[in-house]
Amino acid sequence: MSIYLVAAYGVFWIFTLVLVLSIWARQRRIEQDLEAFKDRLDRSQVDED
Amino acid sequence: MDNLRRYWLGVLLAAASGVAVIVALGMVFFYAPREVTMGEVQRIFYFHVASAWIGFFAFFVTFLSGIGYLATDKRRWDIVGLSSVEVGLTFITMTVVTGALWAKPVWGTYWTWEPRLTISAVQLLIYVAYGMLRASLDSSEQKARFGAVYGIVAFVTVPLSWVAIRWWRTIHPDILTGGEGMAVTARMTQTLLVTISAFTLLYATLLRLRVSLEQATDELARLRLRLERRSSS
Amino acid sequence: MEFLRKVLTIVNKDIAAELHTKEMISAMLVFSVLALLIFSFALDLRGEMAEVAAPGVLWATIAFAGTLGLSRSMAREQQGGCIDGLLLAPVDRSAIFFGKAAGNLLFMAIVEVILLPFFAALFDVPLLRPGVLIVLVLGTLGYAAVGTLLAAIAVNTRAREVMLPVLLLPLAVPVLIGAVRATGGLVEGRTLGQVGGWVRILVVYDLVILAVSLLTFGYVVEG
Repeated sequence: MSIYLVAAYGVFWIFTLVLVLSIWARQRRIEQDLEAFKDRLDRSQVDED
Repeated sequence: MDNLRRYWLGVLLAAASGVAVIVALGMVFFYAPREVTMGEVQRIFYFHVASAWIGFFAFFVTFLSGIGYLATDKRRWDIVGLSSVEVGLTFITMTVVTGALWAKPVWGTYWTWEPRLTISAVQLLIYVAYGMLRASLDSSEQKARFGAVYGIVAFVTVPLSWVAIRWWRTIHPDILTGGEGMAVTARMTQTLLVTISAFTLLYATLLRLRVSLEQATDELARLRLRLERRSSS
Repeated sequence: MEFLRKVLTIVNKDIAAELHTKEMISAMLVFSVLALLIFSFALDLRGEMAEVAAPGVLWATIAFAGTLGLSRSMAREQQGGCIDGLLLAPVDRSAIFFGKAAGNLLFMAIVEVILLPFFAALFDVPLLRPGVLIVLVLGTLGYAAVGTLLAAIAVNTRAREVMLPVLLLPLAVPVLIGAVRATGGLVEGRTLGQVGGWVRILVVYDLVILAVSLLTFGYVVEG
């Protein structure tokens, strides 16, 4: 089978994967930050009470 | 409960796209016939054309979102607009790269000024320009507003560019590329349609993914603001 | 007529500012000549090669010199604080757009008029024809219109002037292809009617761009 054919379909999978992984990685980062901030918010609320 | 429903809808969509892509792949390699003049390499055509369709459709979505944002001033339109650019950029880059990989064995050179390839390159540059514009602005309000305007203006030029490029290449066809030169059969058309449908589902899945990332980013920003207010008071 | 008066006021303001220093037009001219020189070295433009390349080199030069003028014109607006003044006054946003775009078109046209005979002589190509002039006007019109809108956006970015070519050039593809093809045909001896297809692209582009720019300019300068 032609190397170009393989490469072209490889490109499809790689690009899609890179996009998905990139979004997933950023999402994880944000969720971690969100957790941390929620903790701080709860703690500061406790302090106020 | 609405959140839960949304989550499962997302999972369903992702699963559907996964299945559709596998089916498309199957059709490309086992259902579609071996093309007479180009051989096996011609099978690149299906994913190449399908990704081109999505690459341009995604920008149409950005165009509509731009209008939506300017009309309503609501962030949700902007979120869709910028998310569609990111996903669209991925697809159009696929188009250009697969186009080059198809051109080399068939026409002997990586780049031919073939109309679809050329307009895809222009669209790619427009996507990049959109991204650079937003990156070069500081306020999120400006990013949204200017992004919307650029998305609208840029989109209306694309059909005109397409016509101009088409005419240019028809009147001055390259000695190297006489045109598509493919013998198209019914099976090929069917395969192409299935592939385009699969890619549309894939686009929807990726768009939702990117949109929820942006929504999470917004939530973080809001939380940060609340914390700052609390600490300052 | 009130509208026209406002537009002309803005154009006159720009002309007056430029007459003062003449820095923008002179910079655009010098740049154009330098660009021409570089193209000649880079492409070895002699004899037949020159004839074939002339329309392309002409329009590439116009495009690049144009971005200089468009950026400068908008930067001047921002520096002088004129834009804020204009916005406070009860002036219709579209009048501001027309005024700025007309001014930009005028400056580009002046540069082109000076450049054209120079090009024609250097490339030994019959550029001084009414058909070519019409194409020049149609092409520059669309380019200046979309350029004015995008310059108004670019001036707000951190990258400023550098952002304009990035935003503008992908959108100028119809103008560049249409104008170069039309000019090329005319130079080869065809009539305006025979290159009508390309001219039509330019006209449609101009109309569409003017409409969209008018609709969105308000959103660019507000806030």
